[in-house]
Amino acid sequence: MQFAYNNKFKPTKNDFQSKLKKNLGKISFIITLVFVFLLIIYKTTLSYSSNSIKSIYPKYHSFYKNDIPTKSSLIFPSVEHAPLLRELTIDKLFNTQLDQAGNKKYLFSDSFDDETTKQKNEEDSSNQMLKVKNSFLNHGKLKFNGPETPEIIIVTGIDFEKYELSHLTKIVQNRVNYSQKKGYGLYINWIQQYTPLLKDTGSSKEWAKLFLLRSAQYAFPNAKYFWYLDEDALIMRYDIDLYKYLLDPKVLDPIMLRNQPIIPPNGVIHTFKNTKAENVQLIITQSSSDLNLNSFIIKNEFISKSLLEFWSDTLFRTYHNFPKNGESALTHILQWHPIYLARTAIIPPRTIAGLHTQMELPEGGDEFHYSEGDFVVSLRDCSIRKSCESEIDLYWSKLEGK
Amino acid sequence: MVYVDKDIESNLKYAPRSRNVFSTVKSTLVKYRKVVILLISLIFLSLFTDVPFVPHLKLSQPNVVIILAANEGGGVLKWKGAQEWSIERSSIANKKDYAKRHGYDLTIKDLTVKKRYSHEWRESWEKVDILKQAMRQYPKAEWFWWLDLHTYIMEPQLSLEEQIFSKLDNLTYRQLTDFNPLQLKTDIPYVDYSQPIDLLITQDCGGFNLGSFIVRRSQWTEALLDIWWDPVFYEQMHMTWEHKEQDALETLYNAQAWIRERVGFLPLRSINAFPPGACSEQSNDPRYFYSDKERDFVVNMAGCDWGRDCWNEMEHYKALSKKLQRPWYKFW
Repeated sequence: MQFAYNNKFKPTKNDFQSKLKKNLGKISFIITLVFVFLLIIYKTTLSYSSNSIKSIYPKYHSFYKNDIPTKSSLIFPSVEHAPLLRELTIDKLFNTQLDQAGNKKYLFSDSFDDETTKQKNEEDSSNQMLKVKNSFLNHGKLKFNGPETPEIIIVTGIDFEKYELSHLTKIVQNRVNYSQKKGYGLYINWIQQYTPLLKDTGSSKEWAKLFLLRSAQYAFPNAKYFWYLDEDALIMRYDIDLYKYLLDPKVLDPIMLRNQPIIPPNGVIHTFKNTKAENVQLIITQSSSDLNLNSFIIKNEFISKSLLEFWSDTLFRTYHNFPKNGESALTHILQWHPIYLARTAIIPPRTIAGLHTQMELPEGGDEFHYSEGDFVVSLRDCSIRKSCESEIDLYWSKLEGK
Repeated sequence: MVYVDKDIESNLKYAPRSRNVFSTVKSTLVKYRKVVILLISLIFLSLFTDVPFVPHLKLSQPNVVIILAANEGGGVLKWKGAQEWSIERSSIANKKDYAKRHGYDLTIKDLTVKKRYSHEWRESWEKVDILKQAMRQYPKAEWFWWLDLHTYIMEPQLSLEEQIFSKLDNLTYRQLTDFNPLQLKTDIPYVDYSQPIDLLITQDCGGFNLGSFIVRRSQWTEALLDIWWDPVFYEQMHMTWEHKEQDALETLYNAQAWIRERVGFLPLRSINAFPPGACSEQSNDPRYFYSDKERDFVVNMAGCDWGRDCWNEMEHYKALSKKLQRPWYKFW
């Protein structure tokens, strides 16, 4: 027993322990070093360094190589040029080129940025027509670079071949009044600005709204919402705040029409039942038989940009079976491509596009038509009725009379 | 005496516990040091190396899925012969081995002619559907590498991470200014090249080549897969679109900025090198053809079933790869 006792207390263990304690610092240092070393190996073999982009690629640009920065959030052209622009005609506004087949091609060109032409233009500044032409072409290059981007931008395309100066003034003034009051941005451009694209495929001017929206997204890269309001429409209430009225997901959620046929009343494809208001990228209304693109809202995110570019693709613009142009194309897209349908909200017409009618409306109005106190009046198809001017005058006088 | 002894015994029994835990652990470690060293080295080999015979612990789920298209155009219209079976076996074994080695997932998709694609408009547009299906099947994976059946990974020791993903920016070109066999537009409005690359494809002498390409899961990819086949586009173009989804992608790339800004082009030889038989009109252009001296990664026997011998080519590259991969210490 005595032997066992001695054996158990052999000093070897204590010896090792003391050695260990002495070298504890050294050992822990070596362990940390090995650990750090392994960590470095692990990190360097797995990290994907894909952030540095080579500068050789062209910068993000529009149809023109250079932008003209502006501090004003209200971008609209000089409406008073309309009669002169009409006199100039499109052929003189753009540089043209004959292609191999002998067709005339209209070009977007930066030639007005060249130093020589700039000087020449200054010398010729007496020439009123050249001034008008320059102002027209330069308007397409405007890009907002003010300190604070407005969240909501109103987008309108105006056509100097369709309306006289007096009506154009009313249309623009209506948007300016509203956006100034609410602190929104404004992007108004001549529809003729997109002549090279439209003529290239022989497309109707109605397609211009898509190009216009894409330009607006470029001119206001940090804005959140773009409200396309056709020239054949007027804002009738300057006191309504669009965000609180419609865009706020809490407001949008209960009014979205779920399980609504894309082609009313009996279309086969319906909107989703479970779309979340926060995910909505496109807000549109319908008439009794089709989509109404007189007034619609699109967000400024990846999906909506891709939608605009896809929607305005040449192959849609040349398709023979799209009688209503952009509207037919959107109807097609929503029925075939769930990625966009899942992000689309159809809302009751009178919220942003109450239609004009000459009929007597029942008390309180009906589902589709503008009645007193509604936000917007849409004069859709007024060209077919041949009464655009008189309708604008009618609603403008109502606005002024208030 | 006995009583005292017992007392000492009990004291001894509890003696080590009264010391701190640290030293107890130390002493056990020292006692079993051989076992401990063996265990540590095993863990080390398992986590940080690829040596065989050791189970390799992968904590994360596979990040890469290889999609192998088999049976293209087969099915009821055509019976497979012995050589076709052999090609398929070699190709599948090659990818299986590669996927296992790097911890990727492999999914083999059957491209037999199906009734649902046999309508004039949709023939052989299964690629898009298969990609969507694979993305649903592997919801955690980020990268999907499509490989046609007639491909062979020549250097299976190279991982996609080190070969492609880690040097994405240096390896790819995003503008077609230098190499543009289709004469597509080199600059269109609204392209933002600061966006990340979500689709990695190669160009051969005839334009885009989708025999071997890599796609990343993203909202962009979801949108592309959704619009890739559109009935209105197809109705107008199906007579000119000989290569179906390949031509459709070229058209989309040429026209739409959002597509263009996330496509990166890899040199053909990086994941899709050709044998001498393909692109034969430009047989002296070294950009296209597999080089064993430079140890190209993957060979794609593109178009071998159009007047060439697929089985021969497959056997040739299989043997070549085996030769190149033979370790220095093996002499037989």
